Amino acid sequence: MIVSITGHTKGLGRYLYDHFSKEHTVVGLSRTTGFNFEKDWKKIVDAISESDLFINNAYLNNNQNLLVDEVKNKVSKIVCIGSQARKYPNLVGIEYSKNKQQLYNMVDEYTSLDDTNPCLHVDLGFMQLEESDIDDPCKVKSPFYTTYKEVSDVIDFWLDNPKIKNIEFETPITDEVMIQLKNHNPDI
Amino acid sequence: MKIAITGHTSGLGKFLHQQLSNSHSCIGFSRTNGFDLKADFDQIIKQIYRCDIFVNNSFAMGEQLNFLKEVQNIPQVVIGSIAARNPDINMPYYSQKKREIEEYFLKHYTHTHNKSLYIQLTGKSYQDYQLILRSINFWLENPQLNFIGYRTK
Repeated sequence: MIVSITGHTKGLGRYLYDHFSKEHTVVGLSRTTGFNFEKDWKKIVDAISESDLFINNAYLNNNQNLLVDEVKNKVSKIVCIGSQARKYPNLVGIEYSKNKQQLYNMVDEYTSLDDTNPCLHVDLGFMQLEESDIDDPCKVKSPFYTTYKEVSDVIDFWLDNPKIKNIEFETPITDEVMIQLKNHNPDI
Repeated sequence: MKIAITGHTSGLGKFLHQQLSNSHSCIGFSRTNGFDLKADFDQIIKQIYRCDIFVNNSFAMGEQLNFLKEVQNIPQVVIGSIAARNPDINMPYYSQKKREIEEYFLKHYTHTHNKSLYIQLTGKSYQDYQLILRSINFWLENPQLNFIGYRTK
């Protein structure tokens, strides 16, 4: 099948791009490969519409939400990469939480309709970090993080079990995670 | 692994008990094998604590919530229902209790490292026992999963 994915040049997106490339044709949509959300919207939508599975990965304001709304009836399978952060607006920033909650709501509503295509929403916990992120004070270092492989395993499992509509990872907010969050946002 | 399950003599519980017994040692608690989930609560809890995993399946007139609260230290699979979010007007007590169960789980078992799973059953997934079994087996391999929900239609 043809897989399309946004944000495929780093982090989870790159891992998923490599993972699906083993058995499928993957079309990567990122700024660095000539797909800019602001300038190339139509080009992005067209590329997604020609694929069989769209992995809605890149977060940029509410672009994930606009995209799923636009392509939901044009592509046979969609995976939306969400975040448990949607449940904790006071810990991680209200705008981000709000957009992620809205994404969840959209998938929830879409999958509750008759005759819609399979669509999965995944809530990630704190993520595995890239080596380059280790010293980044803005990245939360959790002892219990979601690995890239766990996410690809979840998507593979869902492809075999498309009646599933959402899968969430646990997000342990330990004392050491709380300290980091407070450093990022003193208002907590 | 040693798995405890409530309500193992009918419906989904019966199926899970049978299937999980193929590769695990399963111990079931139901009225039909002499355990009243309310009257024998303390005794059942003691036995659950000798297991590695607890499948909190039986609604038992709301007793499911007490099991969820009491079993804190071993991973649980909680069988939840979409009635928690879309109340069934014919079953107000059931819907209300299921809502309390889901809220308690989300409040206490999502941002902690409890390695527990909430299964939210909706519509036709109630009958798809194989799908639920596959979900539990997948979680056994990926214990960081916290919540699996199914489509309504």
